[in-house]
Amino acid sequence: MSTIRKISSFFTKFGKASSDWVQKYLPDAFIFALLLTFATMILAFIFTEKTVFEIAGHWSQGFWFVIEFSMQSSLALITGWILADSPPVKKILNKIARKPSNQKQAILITAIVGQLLGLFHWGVVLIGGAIFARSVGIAMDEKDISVHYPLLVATAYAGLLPWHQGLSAAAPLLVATPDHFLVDQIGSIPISETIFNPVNIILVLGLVALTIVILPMMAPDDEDDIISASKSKLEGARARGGSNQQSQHIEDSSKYKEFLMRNRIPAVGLGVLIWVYLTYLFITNPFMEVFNINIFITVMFGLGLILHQVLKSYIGVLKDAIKGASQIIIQFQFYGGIMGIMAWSGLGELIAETFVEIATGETWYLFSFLSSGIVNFFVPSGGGQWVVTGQVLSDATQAIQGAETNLMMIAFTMGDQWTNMIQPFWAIPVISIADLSIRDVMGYSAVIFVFSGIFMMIGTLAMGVLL
Amino acid sequence: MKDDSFVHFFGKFFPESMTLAVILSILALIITIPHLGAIKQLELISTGFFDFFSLQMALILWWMLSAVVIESEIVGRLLDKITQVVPLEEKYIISFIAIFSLVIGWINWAFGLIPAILMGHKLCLKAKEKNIKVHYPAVLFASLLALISGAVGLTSPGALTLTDGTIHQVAFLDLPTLSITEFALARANIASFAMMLVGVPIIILLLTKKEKTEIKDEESIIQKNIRNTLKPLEIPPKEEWIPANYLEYTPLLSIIAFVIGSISIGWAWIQSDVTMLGVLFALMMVGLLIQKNPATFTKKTTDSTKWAAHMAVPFLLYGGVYALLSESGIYLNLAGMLETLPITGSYITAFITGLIVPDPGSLWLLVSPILSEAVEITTSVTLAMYASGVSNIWLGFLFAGILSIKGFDWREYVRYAFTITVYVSAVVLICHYLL
Repeated sequence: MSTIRKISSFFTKFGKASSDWVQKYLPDAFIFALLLTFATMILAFIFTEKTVFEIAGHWSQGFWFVIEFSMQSSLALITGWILADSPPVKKILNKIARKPSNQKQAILITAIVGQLLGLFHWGVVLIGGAIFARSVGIAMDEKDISVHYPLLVATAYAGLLPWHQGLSAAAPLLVATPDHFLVDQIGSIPISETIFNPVNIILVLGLVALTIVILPMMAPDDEDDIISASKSKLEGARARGGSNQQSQHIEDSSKYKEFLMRNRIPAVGLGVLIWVYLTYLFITNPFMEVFNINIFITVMFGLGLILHQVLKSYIGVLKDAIKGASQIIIQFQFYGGIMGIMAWSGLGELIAETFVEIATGETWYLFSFLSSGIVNFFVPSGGGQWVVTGQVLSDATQAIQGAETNLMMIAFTMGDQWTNMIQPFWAIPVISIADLSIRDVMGYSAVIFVFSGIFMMIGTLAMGVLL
Repeated sequence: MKDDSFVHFFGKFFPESMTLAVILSILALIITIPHLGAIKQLELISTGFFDFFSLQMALILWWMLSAVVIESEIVGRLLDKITQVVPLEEKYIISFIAIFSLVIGWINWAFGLIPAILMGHKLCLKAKEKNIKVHYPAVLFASLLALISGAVGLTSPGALTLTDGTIHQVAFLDLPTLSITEFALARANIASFAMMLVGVPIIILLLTKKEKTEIKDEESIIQKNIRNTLKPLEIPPKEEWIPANYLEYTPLLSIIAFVIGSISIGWAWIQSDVTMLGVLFALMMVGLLIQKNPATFTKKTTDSTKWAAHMAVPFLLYGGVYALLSESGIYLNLAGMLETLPITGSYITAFITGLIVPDPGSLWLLVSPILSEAVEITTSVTLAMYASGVSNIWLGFLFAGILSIKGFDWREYVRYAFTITVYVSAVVLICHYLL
């Protein structure tokens, strides 16, 4: 057995074991929102001078602390979801899906598409990536090429890995807005200092390259190890993922309603008008200064309208998209409550002071990366996590000599995206589209977790030492 | 076979709220051409919603959390018990459902609407089993009355947006703060509601046909009983639990959160007024408790997005329309047109807008600049909310459709809706002119 195959075999087994463990012991993300709330309350009671009633008050006061951001994040997901589920996007994905001629190529192309979609938008990769993996599965089945379907879907899910360093990076986009919730503390940080910072670009390109290399290496050679999707599963997938799919929920409409729903002028017209403004905005202003989460939503909204072309298609995917955002809508408020306790009880300040004592200018970014990775396991939303820990991390960064907030944010985003590979929260829409279980996918993404973790740890340590 | 049910008939002709929002946006762009430069217009339609994120989330949660509290096993069990004490006679069933829907709906839209529909179905089925003729269309229509009372009661979204400085100061330009009791107990509001409570059930009884249309078994949305229908999640037997389930299915975490939350919000309400965010927090805590465990709560919150789907994305366009009409000064022009008939004009303006915008909170956002200029704030929000509720009766197909109800003959629906519209509108206008 070659060394590469030995490594591959080892990590496949390791991945399966970790997946089994996760499936058995890891509860729903909402449980963590509740447990973290209680834990924060207890810590605040023990380590600060606040009474139980005061802490309870901080919770309900803070509960709506991020109501605005929760809407921004929900809209980012909803508009991204709608875009990914548009006929032209699905058509392009289906076309690319027919290109591979063997299993390794199929996984490689899924990895490339997934990583590109992930760099573009976290909502798009979850939906578009899953649709693409399914399309590849169908295309390979038609060509009679055996492809290990769970790995294919895990590969698509791995596209989420670089998302927080990409264009839809929630925390960097948020801090670029002029009135974000930490603006008094850290000011408004343009994306040129975070997403488009050369350090971030180098690290994310390295991360993407690493992922694209590793994933095909995990493909099983032995036919017995290959689990192709069943014929019925593929047929079901074909029915849902076809490029010409239209929503069936609006049936038997009157002629005039059909005219409104199928006419391209309302949807495309409005979408184009939005894009005319966006083009004007980007021409007349430096892109880095005006691009933030609000503009991002407008971009996705306008694109969604244009690409769906008719309102019938747009409305057809609306309900699923909103459903997909339900836990952001609910759980972000609990994160806001945690933040309220942290901020007003003084606990956040205390934690920051402790960080300052432990970390140095050299190790702080590594520290931020690791802490962010750990917290993400409990608070899987990147934006939500920034809500919970943003203030603490910013306080600490300002107190540590030589540390810079924008670099801390880059380290934070890397940590956040890292543990998504072993936290099943975001995999839910992917597996539901691919018709697999978490268990099928998480083993492979756990392998990516290990390799990418080593890479990002080295990267964040280098940031502290070299910059 | 030709489907004459009102859900199908209205659904066939009436565009979805997203389509109407797009049309509204295009109209707003056209009428603001003489007042604004092209780029300014495009900027406002593209970015107008930026100011309303908090309001948008609050309104989405208003729909979702209200349903989360009601669509639970505990409430289902309670409703099953209530249906056992209602006499199985047509006039009692119709009166009970109408009064329940109006009164409980006054506390919260979902508290009235969903139970009234389910109990109405169950009572009709029970009566049919015992060969008692009950006119199902009258019962179903009576259950929809919460669409009116929910908009004008204690959790009226329009009024709630005015209670909360953090929401409305950003969203609405110069509107004053209004407490929910000032709104709910305003003389014209109370009088209108009382007249509605007395008159509407009688009108529905009078409109009930002699030839009875009984509920068909396939039209029932009830599985065995209301409790089972509202059960969001079947918890597996304990022997089948994996370790993670012990946290997901335990009521303990929900109870702890509820207790802390209740203390916190109770204390806040003792010290200051009830606000929209306070109400939403309370609904969240009650929802957690009533759904028994975190897993069921999560499942129900996901499911309840169906109630907010009609406004979640269209709201982006409502924000753009608001920005266009504000910036162009058209709102002021429209308000000026209401000078001669401020009360009637305000009501009609809100009613027409309500036919295009089903969400009462969004409707208030769009018409508040006009109405608040024409009449004082309590009157303007009361008129807008009644108009929204009455217009939603015409959009009853939308809400019945969410619960997968097929409905009854559209001609009969129009007869009910028209009569109730005339009666409630007359009552509201008379009360506002006299009081």
